[in-house]
Amino acid sequence: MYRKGFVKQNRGGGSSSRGGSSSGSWKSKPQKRKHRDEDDDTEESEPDRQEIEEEEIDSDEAFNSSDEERFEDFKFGKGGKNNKRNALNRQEDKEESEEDEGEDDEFGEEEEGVVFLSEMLTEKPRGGLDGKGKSKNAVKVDDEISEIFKNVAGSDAEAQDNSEEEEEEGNEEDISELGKKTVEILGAKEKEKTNRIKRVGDDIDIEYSQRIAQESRISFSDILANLKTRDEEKKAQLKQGENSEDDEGDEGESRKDNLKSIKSIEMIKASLGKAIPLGKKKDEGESKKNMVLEEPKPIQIKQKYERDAAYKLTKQSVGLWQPMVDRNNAMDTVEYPLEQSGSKKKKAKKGGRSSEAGKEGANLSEGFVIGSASGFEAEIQRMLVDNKINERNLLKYEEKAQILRIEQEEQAMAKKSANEYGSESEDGDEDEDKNTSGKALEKIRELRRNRELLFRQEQKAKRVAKIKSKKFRKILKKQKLKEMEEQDDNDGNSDGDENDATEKIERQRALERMTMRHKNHGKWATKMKQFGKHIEGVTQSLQHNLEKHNELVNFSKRGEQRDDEENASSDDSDGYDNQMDVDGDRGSDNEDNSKKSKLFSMKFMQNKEGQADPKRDDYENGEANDVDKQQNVTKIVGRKKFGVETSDKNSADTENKDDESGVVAKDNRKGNKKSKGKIEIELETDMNEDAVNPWTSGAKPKKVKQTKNSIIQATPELTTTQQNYSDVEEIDDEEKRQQELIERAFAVQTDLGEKEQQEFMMEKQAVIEEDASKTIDVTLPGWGGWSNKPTKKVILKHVEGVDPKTRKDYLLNNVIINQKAIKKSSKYITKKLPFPYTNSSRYENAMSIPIGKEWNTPSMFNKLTKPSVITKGGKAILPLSK
Amino acid sequence: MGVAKEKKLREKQKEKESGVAKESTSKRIKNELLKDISAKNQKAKERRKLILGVESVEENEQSEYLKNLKTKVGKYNRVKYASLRKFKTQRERQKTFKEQDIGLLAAERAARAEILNVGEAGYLVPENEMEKTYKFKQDEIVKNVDINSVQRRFELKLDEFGPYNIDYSRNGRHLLLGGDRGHISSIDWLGGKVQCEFHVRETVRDVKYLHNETMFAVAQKKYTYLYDSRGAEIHCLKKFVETNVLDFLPYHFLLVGVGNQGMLRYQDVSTGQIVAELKTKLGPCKAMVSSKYNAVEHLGHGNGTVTLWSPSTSEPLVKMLCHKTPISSIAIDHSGTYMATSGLDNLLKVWDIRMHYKELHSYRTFTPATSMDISQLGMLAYSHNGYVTIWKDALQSKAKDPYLSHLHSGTTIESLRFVPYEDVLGFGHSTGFSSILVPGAGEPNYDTLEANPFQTSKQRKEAEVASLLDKLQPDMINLDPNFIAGMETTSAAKSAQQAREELVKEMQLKRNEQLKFKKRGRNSAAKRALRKKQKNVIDIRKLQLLDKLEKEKRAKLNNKLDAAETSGALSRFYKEKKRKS
Repeated sequence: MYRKGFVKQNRGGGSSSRGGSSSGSWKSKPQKRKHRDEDDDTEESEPDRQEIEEEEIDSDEAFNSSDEERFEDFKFGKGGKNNKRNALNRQEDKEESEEDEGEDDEFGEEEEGVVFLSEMLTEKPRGGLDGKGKSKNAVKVDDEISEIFKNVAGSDAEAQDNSEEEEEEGNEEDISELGKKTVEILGAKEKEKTNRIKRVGDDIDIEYSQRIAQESRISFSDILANLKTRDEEKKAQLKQGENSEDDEGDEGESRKDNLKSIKSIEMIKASLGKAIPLGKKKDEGESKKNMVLEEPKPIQIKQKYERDAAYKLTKQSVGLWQPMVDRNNAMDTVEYPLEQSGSKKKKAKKGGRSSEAGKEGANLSEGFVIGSASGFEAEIQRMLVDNKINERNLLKYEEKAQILRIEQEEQAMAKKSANEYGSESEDGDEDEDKNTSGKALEKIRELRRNRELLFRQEQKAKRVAKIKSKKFRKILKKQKLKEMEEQDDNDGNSDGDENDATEKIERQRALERMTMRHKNHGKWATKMKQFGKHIEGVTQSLQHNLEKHNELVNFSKRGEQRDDEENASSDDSDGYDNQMDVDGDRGSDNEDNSKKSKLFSMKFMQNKEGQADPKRDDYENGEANDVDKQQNVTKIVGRKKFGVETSDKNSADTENKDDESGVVAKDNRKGNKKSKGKIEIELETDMNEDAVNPWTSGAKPKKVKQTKNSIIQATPELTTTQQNYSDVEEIDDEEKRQQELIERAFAVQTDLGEKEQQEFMMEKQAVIEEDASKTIDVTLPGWGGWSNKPTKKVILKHVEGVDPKTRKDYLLNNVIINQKAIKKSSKYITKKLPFPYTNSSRYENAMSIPIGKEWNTPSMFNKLTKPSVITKGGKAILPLSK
Repeated sequence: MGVAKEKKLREKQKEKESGVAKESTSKRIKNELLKDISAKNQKAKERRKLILGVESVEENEQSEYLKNLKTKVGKYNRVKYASLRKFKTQRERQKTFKEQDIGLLAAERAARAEILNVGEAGYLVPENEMEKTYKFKQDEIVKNVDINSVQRRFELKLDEFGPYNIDYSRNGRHLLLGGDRGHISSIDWLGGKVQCEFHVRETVRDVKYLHNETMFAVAQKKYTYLYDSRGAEIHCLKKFVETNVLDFLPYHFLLVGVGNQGMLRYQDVSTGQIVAELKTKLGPCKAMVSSKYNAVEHLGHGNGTVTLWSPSTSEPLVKMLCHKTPISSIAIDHSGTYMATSGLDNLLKVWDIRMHYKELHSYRTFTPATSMDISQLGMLAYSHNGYVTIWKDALQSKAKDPYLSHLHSGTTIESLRFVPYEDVLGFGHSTGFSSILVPGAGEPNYDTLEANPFQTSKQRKEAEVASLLDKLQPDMINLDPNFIAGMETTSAAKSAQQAREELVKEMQLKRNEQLKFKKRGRNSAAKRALRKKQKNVIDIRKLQLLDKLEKEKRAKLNNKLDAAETSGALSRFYKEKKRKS
């Protein structure tokens, strides 16, 4: 029965009405009816989800005549006042929503309806300034609501004092008092709120229904009268407050609701105006029938609807993050802190560009980010821009200021002098002014130049100070010393010179006596005395040190000393190198030694040395020391016993022969000797002698080879080579002849390689058979047959193998390819796809792309090895913000 | 309107401003992002088109540069084309697209970075058809090259202890000479310095530098020894007995030796462990070389076969019959595609060893080639008697004429090696050592992360540490070096039944520990376990238990039948016995 009614209603109103606010236990029949209606609405709501935005209009239309008929008999109590206010609010809400539609925002708008009870409950009261804030602790929501029930008929002033949240709650209660009509009219957002209220608790519902039961009947005319007056008042108020209130951002929901309610109230008025007369005409019996509401649905189903609605809401709110999540998923690497930095960078870039575009050049404002600047920054920025101050300008200002200051100083000086020396003519004053300003400029420039130079020098000094090289320091020291000496030479040309020199020598001698620096007590020297006796040059350098010491301690000439100073090992760690240098200088002394080295005693080496090649000379001059060094080193180490006496070439050759252990070589040797004569005969007839003969070739004794070589050399070389490289086919005839000849001579050798070939084929056959699948009889003889009876069972085992036709070497006669699986390498193969891969081709692709430096360009290497998440140390990773 | 109201007003205004700012920034970011993504996608799509050839672009549309790039990128590209359509969700498609694209981008960048390879290989080019490059003698070449190159051509006359085996260090800067009669010398031949020179007073069969010039191995009369750069003996490898040939796998730090016993030995020089001792069962071996592509050792044997070995199997990976005579020498090119073998049958054969192990073509040598080598840019050199013959472009196709030939008269050449990153070929012979110029032999652009000819000692030390950290395990040596981290292909081919069985087995192994046998008697374990199970849940375990129960039943029945069949005096015992067991 209801269904029908509902369908009708739908036909009349376009879509189902929404926002039945109250639920719970119902006592009176009309209320039951209402409830049923509401439940069905929610049921119906699913397919209508997409129409949520159109809802507002639909809801208005939804309140059609049939509804009016139904609610005709309802009477309302004093709740009219509050109800009106509520309605006003709604209207306000609607306006707001219209505004919002103007700004096409993707995120903001959808959020607004989303305030969860849980949030409300946990939200703490904010300050009074928090305009839309939930002024009362939301934990007390239940209490509040009950209070509101008492205050439903309270004055406007009271209501205004209440926070808007309260108002909302209150609104809903008012609605209940007004009747289900207004409730039905509520838009989609309103409905959410009603849901919320549902959740607030069934305990409210009880109160609520009781109250309704007690409520005296109110005529529509009463309502309308009330509405009109209240409406106007509210509108006036709102117009005042609109300017302030339409700016609000996220918390606009309640206001929105207000607007909506206003609108809806107007709609009600309009529709009521039409409907009332109609309703009066209709017979009362029908309306009485309609008054009977259906039983409420069972709790489970109700909860299901609630869950459904809640899911929708959460989905919506979670869906807000979807684009961000998608983006983060799409990125190869996510850098934390997220995007704020990135966007800032972009902004900075953009700002830079725009400022350049604005021909402001290097602007001070570049450092500031316009959009996200805090108030102070923005203010300063604004000031800078307003006064057209940028860096260039600033420089000018500074210059001017400096000039001014200097001028003032000069003037002051001038005045002073004037005071001292009497007054001067006024004519000269102007000139002086000019002069002073010119001078000031010059002075400034000079100052600037000096500053610049000083700065540069400082930088250089810093850089030089950082150099840690000992060698560099040494060189620096020497340079300084030299400079000092030169200066000394220049300064004290004649008189102080000798004195200085003697003094210096004295000082050095004293120093030496004090420190005993050259007495071989140092770290290096002691070590060398212990272990380094075998190292060439060490003893010499030690000796050298001692000599030096003697020289210093006893009297010596100045000039010599200086030279020695340079040569001596001033630093222990460098000692060894220095020794080598010293040795290098004395390379000629060591020549005898070097001659002993085999390689360098070779004739060609000597020849090369003898060659007068200018470039080579240069090279030698550079490298001679090194070579000598090397020689020295090589002389000491290794197994250097040359026990082998130089023997005859022939004996060596025979030895060599013995060492050779070729298989066939030995076998063939006899044959070779026999064939020697024949081949020489061949040689006379044919030029490329041993080339074609397989028998004389491989294992010939070397002596024979040499003789043959000599024969070849006797013939002109070119011709032989030319003949040599003719094609194989051409030679084939000759080979055949040769073969025949050999066949005639040695009948046995003709089937060259036949045996090997046969053996190979046999082997291959064996392998194929072994690998092929086969069944094996694994019955043990006598097993189970001990009780006087032989076994019947024959146990066969089938071994899976490789089909000979599918073998890799099936078509290759001379090849056996091992097809057995290699157990050891099986650990490098996966049986199952590793986790993140869902497809073998993807996995193989990933494995085939090398990521090492060796196979990639540096940029690609970086790209391939970049971590998927990058965090910055010391920077907090904030949760995503809208 | 009090002060409070004014404040309210101001606050609201602020809120609104900030709200607007926030909104606008978020929107802007979103828009920028969208733009970025679309631009990137566009580029990626183009790249995909170009490299993988997803959609054939008309050839007219492609610029010359793009064409070049395409060929170049092909060299670096490791991404295999996989259709995006087979992925069901948009998200997966996007991810796959992105993953593939990063590989393509890497390839493209690498190809573009080739512009930094400034060096170019120069060759001897004949002016007309009548002119043959192999007619040019070294003297003529030397006259026409720069002074630096002239210095690279030299000879060492060492006629007392020859013939010499030689080896170059990986960066080509150091030369190791091992005279047959015991003379050993390590030379920085580019710097003109002798590192060490000494005499071991016994036969030296082979010499080999290890990972860098500071260590080298010498195969002597009985054992193999390790020496340092000063010639001091570091180790005596007593397992390497009578080794004929030595090889070193730098990425695995494995010293490999094979000798008269026919045993192939792998020893880890970083840990000192013997990794593998493999019996070739083919007698003494004198020819061995490792592929730079997959570190597989190629051994040439007396019966004309070549066997390919990895330390993880006791059998050769591949065995191929290459010659009808003993094999004298083997060489493998740097890409691991071609192998050249020479036998005593005076033939030099070139093989494709990637998949099919096919003979591509053969050349005739006039006497068996004693030594062979392939340069970085693919030049093939072999020696026979006193001749050195060098072939260019002789691997891919059959070349008509050699590129260069050189006669070192009066000697037999023992071993020859191209110098890495130099246009030089060095060979040790019976009267010493000499090096000749071969224009265009060496790689002109070196990668310092790989081998640096101008390495300082510090760099060398760092590289040593780095290479030790990056050391590969010996098990990783396989014919296909990319098998690592691959999927097991056989499992896919298995039938569903097999898969199920395997799963059950796996589960069994896991659960075996959990099964407890508390009670004795008729109560079977399967029953007990089944009882504990929930009745409506059917999983593998349950199936397994059911199977087991059925088997037990069948076994019981069989027992009974057997017992019934068995007649005679012992039948009752039989029953008893069965039951007990």
